[in-house]
Amino acid sequence: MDFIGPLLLAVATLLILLVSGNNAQACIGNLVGARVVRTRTALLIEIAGVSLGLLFQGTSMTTAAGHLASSLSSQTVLIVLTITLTLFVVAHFARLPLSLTHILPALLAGVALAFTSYFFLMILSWMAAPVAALVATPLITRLIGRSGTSDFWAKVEVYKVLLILVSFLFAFTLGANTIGLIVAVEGFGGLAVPLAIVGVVVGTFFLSAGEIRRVSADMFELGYSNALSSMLTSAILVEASTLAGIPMANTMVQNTAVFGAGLSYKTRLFSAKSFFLVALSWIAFPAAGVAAGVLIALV
Amino acid sequence: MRIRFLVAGEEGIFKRLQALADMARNETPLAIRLFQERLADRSVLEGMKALEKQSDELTFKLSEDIMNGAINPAVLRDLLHVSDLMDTVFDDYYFLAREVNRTVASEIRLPMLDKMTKTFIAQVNLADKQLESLGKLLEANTMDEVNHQRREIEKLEESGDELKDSAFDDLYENHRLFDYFSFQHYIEVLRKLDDIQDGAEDMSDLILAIANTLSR
Repeated sequence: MDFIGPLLLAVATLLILLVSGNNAQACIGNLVGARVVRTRTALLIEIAGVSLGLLFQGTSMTTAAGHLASSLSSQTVLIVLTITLTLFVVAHFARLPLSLTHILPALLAGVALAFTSYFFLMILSWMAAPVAALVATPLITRLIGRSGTSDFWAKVEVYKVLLILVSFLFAFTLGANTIGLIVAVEGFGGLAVPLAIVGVVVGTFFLSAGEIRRVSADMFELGYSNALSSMLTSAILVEASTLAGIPMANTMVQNTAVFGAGLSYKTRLFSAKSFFLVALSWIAFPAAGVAAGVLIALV
Repeated sequence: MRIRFLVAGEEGIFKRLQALADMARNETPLAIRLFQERLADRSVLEGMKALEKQSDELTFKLSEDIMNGAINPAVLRDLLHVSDLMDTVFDDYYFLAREVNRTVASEIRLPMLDKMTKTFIAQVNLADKQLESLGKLLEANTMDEVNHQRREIEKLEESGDELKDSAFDDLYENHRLFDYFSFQHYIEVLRKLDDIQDGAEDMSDLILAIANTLSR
């Protein structure tokens, strides 16, 4: 009897559940932190966005899966997903900023020894996206600040509506890109998508609370326009990557965008050290993932 | 079309602060009576006490709603501070009522009373104008209007400072006329009225900062 299929489904669903819980803060932390909507409403926006993203655009990630994992057997994919799951759990408890969208493609490329032009394009995109976010966010912030009415209550209303829309869009890109990548690696057929949506619902509702509280308290004390510009930049960059079939870490893009939003202030006082430590993890973890993958392939 | 439910947070809080600023103006006629008539029947004291109690309840509820409402954390602390400063206006007036009543009850001799009374009433009227401008500032929806009202409040505060300083000069020039209690009383009243005006100016500064943060 073949246990690999059901096991793959189980591990992938578990991974989706954890990733959904962990990444909800990136999409709706602004909404909750800025108290635009209640937490429960924000969670529903998150679930709707991620699920629709997976349903309508998740298949874009089959390109990535094709380039990185097509030569691998189901058994190897299962091993890689299990290692990713284990690393993800360990990183969560060790409070390390591990991104699934970094570690999973890196491990797959390492195991498959798939150092193709696609792999290098992916690495290049991972380097370019934070730079783009850093440059674009202050510009978008300025544009948003200049546009529109002089009535600031009307501005606040517009900001709040746009924040809801952009949060939904960002959740959509998370579903299409990150969740889409996991489903694409295990295969889009059968129960994969329905179980992924179950994972999204359960993970978002039951595992996101702590992260959202922490992030909305620590990071999202932004004005509405800064919150909006950082979310918008992130959503555009991740969506562009999805359309190009390249996995992109939502949290990496967003962290840089928030940092960029901080740069748009005339007077600024922030700890660059903690940002650069997180940025270092964006290089260290993928590199370690590739190395670990190669090691597994050699063994 | 305005989407009301979304801005119930900050705009709602501004409206409640505006109502408090209007309520604080009820202190003006009471304070003028207090200084003009130096009442021994405690009627003004009771009126100010009632206003102070009402303000305590309203600002407590307001602070609670600021903490639990749809308020951006970036402006939350400033809003709480404004609420606290607004309550202090009522506390200060009540303190003045008690201070004046104490001097009446103790039959303390107050030299230069007419001159000092004029200064106190002028200070009360300036504070009243500041509170009126503060109400308009809280009602404003453009940065130009906010800046204009803030400047008005600042000018009124500077006029109040002039009054206070010239009263201090008078007191020191005539120091031989006073005993400890009369001197202390005048100093206390001048300072408390100045505190009310400073508080109004601080509130206008904070509201400007909040409006800037929200519209940025």
